[in-house]
Amino acid sequence: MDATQLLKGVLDVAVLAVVEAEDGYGYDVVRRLRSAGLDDVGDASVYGTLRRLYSAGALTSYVVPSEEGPHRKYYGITDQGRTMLEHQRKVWAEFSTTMTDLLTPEAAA
Amino acid sequence: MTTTVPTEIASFAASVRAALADLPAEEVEELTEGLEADLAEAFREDLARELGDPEVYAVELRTAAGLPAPEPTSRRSSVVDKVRDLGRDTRSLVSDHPVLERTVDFVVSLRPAWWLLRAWAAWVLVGGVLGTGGGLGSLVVLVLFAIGSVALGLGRWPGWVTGIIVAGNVAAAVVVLAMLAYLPSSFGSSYTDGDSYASADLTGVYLDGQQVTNIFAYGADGQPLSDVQLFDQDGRPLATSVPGGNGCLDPDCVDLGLWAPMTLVTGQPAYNVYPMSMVEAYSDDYGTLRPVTGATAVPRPSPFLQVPALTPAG
Repeated sequence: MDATQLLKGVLDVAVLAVVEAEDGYGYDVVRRLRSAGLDDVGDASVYGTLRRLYSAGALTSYVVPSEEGPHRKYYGITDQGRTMLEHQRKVWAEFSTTMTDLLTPEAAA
Repeated sequence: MTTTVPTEIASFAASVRAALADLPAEEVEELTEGLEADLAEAFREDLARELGDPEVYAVELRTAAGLPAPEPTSRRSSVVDKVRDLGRDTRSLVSDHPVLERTVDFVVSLRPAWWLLRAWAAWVLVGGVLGTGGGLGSLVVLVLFAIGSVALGLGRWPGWVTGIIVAGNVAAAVVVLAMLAYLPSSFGSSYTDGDSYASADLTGVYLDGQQVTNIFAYGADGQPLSDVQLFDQDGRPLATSVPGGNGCLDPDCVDLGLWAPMTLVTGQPAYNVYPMSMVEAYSDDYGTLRPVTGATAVPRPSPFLQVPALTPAG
């Protein structure tokens, strides 16, 4: 098992958390995820996830035109996205506690 | 897609879009909007980064977006593959050229008009086969066809349904083209309103290949008749001249004249009233004949003062 497989299940909540911190465009979100330590995150996966979260109503989007290059599509979080993120934070906290307890020798002992 | 995007990024993005081409156009647009900007930035930041396989990239993109995987291509025949490749090449060519892209966008925006046009074509076809005439029932059928056609256009369909739709489109296009070829002749033959007089410009009355410019009618007693309205067998005004039609006032054509129509009680000019008179005219600066101010229409010399009378009928 490597981090890439684990990442698949939690990419949604990771992306939501990054966008909640500040609106971002596709590659900006990728960069923030990578600098947070998710080195292996694929940019296409992030763009697709952004699109899916947008379709689900968790994100809003707006296009910012650029004079010297192609326009950028920014994403921001919606109230529904915040609700979703809050819920998933709790789920993650419980799950990670469970896993940590399970995987830590002292706790198992 | 401006000059600041390297060519390889533009073509990579085009290939990604092509690999998503089985999805609805709006979905592809939403999914890849801003892709060039993201790729360009990633490229600038990490020069060692390879762009990789656009198809793999597209699969990653659509999987993450929760969209269906493309239909397996293995069952496709090589001809279908070639057509598909051709479409892909065309799409990337188009997306590399903004003018082409705008043109395609414009043509795509006309799709609803085509949906209505093909509904009409189907209606014409069905009407022709079943021999149904006009009437309310026929109109209801037309409306139903229009609704069905738009629904077909808006929906997403499995491959075999798309095949049927394509075949139907071809049939509809043939009907529309055939109707286009038929329309001018059917318009040209209807002299039902004032405007149609003008369109009679190239028509006229001919006798043995020579144009008839005026008609002289004589009664049963052989005496000339005046102000006779003539029509052909279909009820079309038998007009030898049209508005602006000109002639010569004298045999040597020194003085020009304009044929002078009569006026019906409806207010419309009538060019089928004989013998027709002519009003003196002059050629204006643009070469158009205009009636001389104050000139009155004068009768044309008749070929016969009178003709033999008829023997009494019965």
